[in-house]
Parts: sequence; C-alpha cells; structure tokens
Amino acid sequence: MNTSKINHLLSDQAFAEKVSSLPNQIEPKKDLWQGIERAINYTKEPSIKRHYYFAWAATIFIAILLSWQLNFKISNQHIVDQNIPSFSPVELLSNNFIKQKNSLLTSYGKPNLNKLPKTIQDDLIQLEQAQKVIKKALVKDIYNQDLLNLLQWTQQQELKLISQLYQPYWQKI
Amino acid sequence: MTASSIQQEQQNWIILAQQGDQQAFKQLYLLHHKKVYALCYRMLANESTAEDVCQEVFVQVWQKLAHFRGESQFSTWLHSVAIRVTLNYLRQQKNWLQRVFSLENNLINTTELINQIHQNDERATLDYYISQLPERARIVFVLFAIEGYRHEEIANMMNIAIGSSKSQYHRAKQLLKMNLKTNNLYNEQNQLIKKQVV
Repeated sequence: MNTSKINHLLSDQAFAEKVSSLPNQIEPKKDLWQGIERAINYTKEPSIKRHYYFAWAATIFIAILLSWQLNFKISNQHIVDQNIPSFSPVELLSNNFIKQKNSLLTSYGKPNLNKLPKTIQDDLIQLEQAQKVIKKALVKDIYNQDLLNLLQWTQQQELKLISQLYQPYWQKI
Repeated sequence: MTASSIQQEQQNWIILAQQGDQQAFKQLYLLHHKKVYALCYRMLANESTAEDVCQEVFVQVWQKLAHFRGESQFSTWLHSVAIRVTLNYLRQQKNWLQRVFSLENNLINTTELINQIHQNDERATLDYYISQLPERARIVFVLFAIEGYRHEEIANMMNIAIGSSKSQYHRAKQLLKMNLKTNNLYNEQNQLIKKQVV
C-alpha cells in the first residue's frame, strides 16, 4: 500500500484489508510438541498418582488425628491429675492415718484422750514423737521404703492402742 | 494433496487419536498448531505465555478428544477450546506480580517487532499494535476481526455485555488506526529524509 495516501485517518475498508492480510498462522519459536507429549504421558497415570497422594494425605491426616487425640487425652489426664492434689508418700500415709483414727474415735463416741491414764498418754505421745522423727527423716528421703514402713507401723500401733483402750468390754469377751 | 483428502486424513487421525494413538494426535497437532499459536499469541500478546498456553490447549484437547462427536468442524472445536483455555489463563493471572513480569517480558519480546516496523513490514506492524492494545480491547478485536466471532458469542465467552464487546472493538479499531497513521507519517518522514540525504 502506498504510504503517501495515508496522511488522513485510515478508512474502514483500508483498515479491514490490513486486518484480513494478517497471517492466520504463526510458527512458534520452539518445538511445543515435546512438552505436550510429556504432559500427555504424565496425565495417563493420574489415577495412580491421585491414589498415591490420597493415601499419603489420608495417612498424614490419621496420624495428625491420632496425635491430636493422644495429646487431648494426655492434657485431659493432666487436668484430672491437677485436680487431685499431689501428695508425697508421707502425706498419703498421714492423711490415711488421720482418717482411720478419726473414724475409729467417732465409732467410740469421740472420747477425750487427755482423760486417759498418764502411762497410756505417755505411750501415745511416744508414738507421736516417733512418727515426727520418722517424718523428719523422710523429708530428706521421701521414698525411703524402710522409713515409710516404720511410719506405717507406728501409726498402726497407735490405732491398735486406741482400739484396745476404747473397745467395749463385751466385744473382748 | 487436495482439501477433501486432507479432511479425510484428519478424520482418520481424530478417530485414531480418540483411541489413544499419540502419533495420530501429533499429526493433528502439526496440522493445527500454528493457527492455535497465532490465536494464543494475539490474545495474550506474549510469546512465551502463548507457547505455554498453546501446549495446554493441546493437552486439554487430548484429554477431551473422546467428547468430540464431530457435530462441528474439528478446527472450530479446537479454536473454541483454545479460546476457553486462553481466557481462563487470563482470568487466573490476577496476581499483580505476574502482570509486572509479563509486561517486562512483553517489552523484551517486542524488540524484534519494532525492528520489523522500521523495516516497514505492514503485517508485523499491525500485529505489534494489536499486542499493545489494552487487554480487553485486544481480546475482543482478535476474536471479532481476526477469528470472525460475533459480538454475542464474544460477550458470552468473556462474560461481558454485548454492548461492551462492541464498544471495546470500536475502541481497539480507533487506537489501531491512530497508531498505524502515526507509523505511516513516521515512515514518510524517514523516506523524505533519505531522499534529501541522497
């Protein structure tokens, strides 16, 4: 087209001619088939890949779920444990002893121990002091089994003594 | 080879490709890839992106070939797939960073075209100015003026109003005419200068 004729705005017809002269094919600069072929061969096994990834995803999901449940249980257990005051063996033995003693005294009508004969009161005091000494020793070694057994023995002796003192006479017969 | 024999050959390739014959599909690719690439390149205005999208078009055609019932021409069906894939690509390319890099690539790739313009290659000049059009105007122009789709079809494909398609085409045409005129004035001045020098 003679360019000197286009000083004014291009006419619609001339413009349409230019557009229709555009090539309807353009050669890409690189070979596209190789990439297409690779993609086609890759997509031949989508079901296998998908199952493979699905299996992995499912495994990971189950693992996460299990660990979450485990953590949940542990944390719940921790909460439950926190609700129960953590006692040392000495405290447990002492608390248990106090309960048994109170229960025993209650069963005997809550007698006043200070009204007992002095010799018996001395025996009870000696047992109490023995328990205090053992407890002191257990402060340094709270899981010492021998000391714990000794403590328990002194407690049992005290309970036996109370039981012997206040047990109704007819029961002895 | 006559047009009818090519048509018959193509029909055989389609049937074989539908049965999983990759070599037959390659024949279909060799027959159509330049037209598909031209469409992708003009819509996307970027060489490397057009190459990627063109590949994606043929991969999707391979996957959907079983659905082709021959109700329309294979080339028509192929072009409709190409347009859908290209438009989907453009819709997905929302990331501003991608657009920036795409623009940079575009500037690099157009260097050769600018050289062609200076060599007064009119077809390359028009293709260059099409590539410089705003995205929506460019797509409408390519589909209407080059691919021959109606505004109703374009509006449906691009999910825009018919009036919007028409106005975008008008806008594209005006911009192209203006740029071509500027380019011709530039060439005329160059020729005058050359004559004066001689």
